Amino acid sequence: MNEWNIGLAMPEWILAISALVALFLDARTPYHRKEGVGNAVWIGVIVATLWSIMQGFGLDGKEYAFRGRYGLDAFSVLFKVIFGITAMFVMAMSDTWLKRVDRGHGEFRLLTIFATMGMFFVASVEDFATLFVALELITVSFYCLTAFKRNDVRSIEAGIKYIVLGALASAFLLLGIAFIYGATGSLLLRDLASSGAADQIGHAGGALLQFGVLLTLVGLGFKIAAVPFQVWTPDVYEGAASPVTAFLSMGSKAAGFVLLLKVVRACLGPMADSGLAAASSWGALIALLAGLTILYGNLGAMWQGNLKRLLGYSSIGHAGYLLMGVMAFNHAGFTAILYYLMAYLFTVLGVFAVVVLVNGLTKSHRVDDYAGLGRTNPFLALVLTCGLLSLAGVPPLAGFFGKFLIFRAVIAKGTVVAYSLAAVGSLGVVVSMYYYLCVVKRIYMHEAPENGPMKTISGISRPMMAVLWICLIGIFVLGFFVQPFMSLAEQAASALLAG
Amino acid sequence: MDHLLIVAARDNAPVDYLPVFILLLLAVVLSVSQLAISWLLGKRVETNEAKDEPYECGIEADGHAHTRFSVKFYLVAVLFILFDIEVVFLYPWAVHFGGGVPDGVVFETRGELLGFLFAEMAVFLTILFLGWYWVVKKKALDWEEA
Amino acid sequence: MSIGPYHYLGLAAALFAIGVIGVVTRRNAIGVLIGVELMLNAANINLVAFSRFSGGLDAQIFAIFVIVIAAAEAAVALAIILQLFEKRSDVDVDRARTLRG
Repeated sequence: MNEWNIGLAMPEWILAISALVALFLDARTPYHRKEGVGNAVWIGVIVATLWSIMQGFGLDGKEYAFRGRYGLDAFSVLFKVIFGITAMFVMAMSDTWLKRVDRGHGEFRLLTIFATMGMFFVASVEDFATLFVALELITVSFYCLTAFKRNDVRSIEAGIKYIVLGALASAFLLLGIAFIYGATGSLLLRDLASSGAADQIGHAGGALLQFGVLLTLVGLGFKIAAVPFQVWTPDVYEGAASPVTAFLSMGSKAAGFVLLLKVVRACLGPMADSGLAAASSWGALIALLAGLTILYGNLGAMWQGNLKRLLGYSSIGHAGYLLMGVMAFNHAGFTAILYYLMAYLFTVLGVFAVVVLVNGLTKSHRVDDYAGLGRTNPFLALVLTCGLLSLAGVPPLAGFFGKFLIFRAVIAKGTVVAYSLAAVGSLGVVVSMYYYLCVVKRIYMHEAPENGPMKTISGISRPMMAVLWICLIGIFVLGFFVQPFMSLAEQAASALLAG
Repeated sequence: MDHLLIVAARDNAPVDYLPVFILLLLAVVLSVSQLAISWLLGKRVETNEAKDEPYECGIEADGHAHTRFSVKFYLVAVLFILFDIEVVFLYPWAVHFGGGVPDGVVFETRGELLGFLFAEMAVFLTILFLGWYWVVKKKALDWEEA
Repeated sequence: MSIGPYHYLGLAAALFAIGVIGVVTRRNAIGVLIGVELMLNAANINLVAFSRFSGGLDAQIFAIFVIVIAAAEAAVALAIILQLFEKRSDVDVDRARTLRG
């Protein structure tokens, strides 16, 4: 554990080196010739992801690097692969999107790989200092990406809202870390787990630690867009460029959940399987937040006429379902969260891929302007429909199975809180069915207006086509062939619980 | 909170803050007395235009204090802060490199420690200079352009 | 007289509270930003104080990282605020309400 072992962090090294090469190339090349930057970033992300997969095969238990401040287990590998795939899909989308922008191609790609690097580090975080730095690397990159369309006042405004609330959340997170450090005298997560924190946290004696954990959860709650820290989400989703929104909705949210799981497990680890109920009010608190998040997200989405805004609210709702898994706080709950995130990856990125393409044609994100998509672009309409139905949780698609696992884990708790949470969750599912089906109805049942902008979209790039197909196939595969992915999620959840 | 209490009990060395308080007292006494003396001895003059100037004597003030500055100042200032603040990493590093860490704490031998420290700083400075190179190439420091 | 951890904690708590008040009450985006910086530095004081009184050095190094990150965050925030000023010629956060619903 006290080894340097720097080779273990090879995916991060690869990303760092390719980011620096891309930075150098960006400085060297004039405005319009940024292919070199794009290639360096693509190569970096692909090689890093493949390396992570390779590491996953050779992995035996948990390995440490940098004197125990960096850890690699099945859990980190799974998330690194998720982040790598997310980054690739997002890059395919941004290549398409950047064709409509005349400058800043190099910077956009650089910011993408910086954020990806932060996500890779987040998956291997073993202490609070690394946690904060990695999280800020992601967040600051996203501030820039959100405000990237600098001539669009909505993008700037989204950036301001994101940065003000994000910086506020960072401050709370940092204060929480300071208090946890004060209570345990160490920044390492495993010291927190072994310091008897779980005993303290359930009792009045551990006030400093309790307060610290609470503040940390506030900071992370912002990242995952849970109530009451969700206000930024719809605005930022609407204002940011579509590939950025896609990256936010998957990458940033998953990174928040990685950290949330790691911190919750470090604080309350020994209580796993006896459940959060043993930690007195913590289980109830998380259940309350999960319920409110589900209700806020799904009810808010019902009135939205803008598809990106609707997806913003729906993303809040999904954070609520994932929090239900945290509330279950056992192997089944963690497995469900991981499966849900895998399903969410293909589902939400498939939806956003279509949004990017359609927006290029119609210059609009209004749901009404999707009328006639079914006739003009049957394939895009199919991907969008499957994505939306999977988000809603219609069997036998991927999203259904994720929701099923989450609900099963929660109901198995058998407590009143768990049953009520499951009831609220099902209410959310019913509501979400309504607004997703409204969009689907618009796509198929309504004709495009005469002389409207809706036409057949041609010239979809090959990477973009690949994204669409992979997402479509992924949505079905994770719904039908559950077992292999289920065992991946189970391994990762076991690794997380083993610490 | 127990942990904190133990910690608090450990740190009971008396600290002599007398010089600080004397300094504070001096600062207050001096500034108050100067104001008081000028108020007591000075002639009362009606305020006039010349009195209201920011600088009562000397060159007449020209222009307005609230003029807009060029955005270039902002860019240079922010870049200065960013590169300036990176220097804080150099200080703890220099303490280690100068022999602040005994052998065997982080590495077995002093040579290994120095090698590691050197490599670490080389990586850090490479990244920093690459950032600087990017800034220069983007013409962010060019006063004439952009 | 001896200065113990509670003095530092009190100072940090006061600074943090001032920062929160600044963020909540200020309408000028720069004022909000200053409030956030106060909060970050309050947390930093806590880190250094805890580190000083528990003997470890790691939190002090962490505090240096936080200072650098805060600077980077402020630079990005100022750049975005400047861009809003160019579009709007004011930086009132209450008036940034094109996006709503």
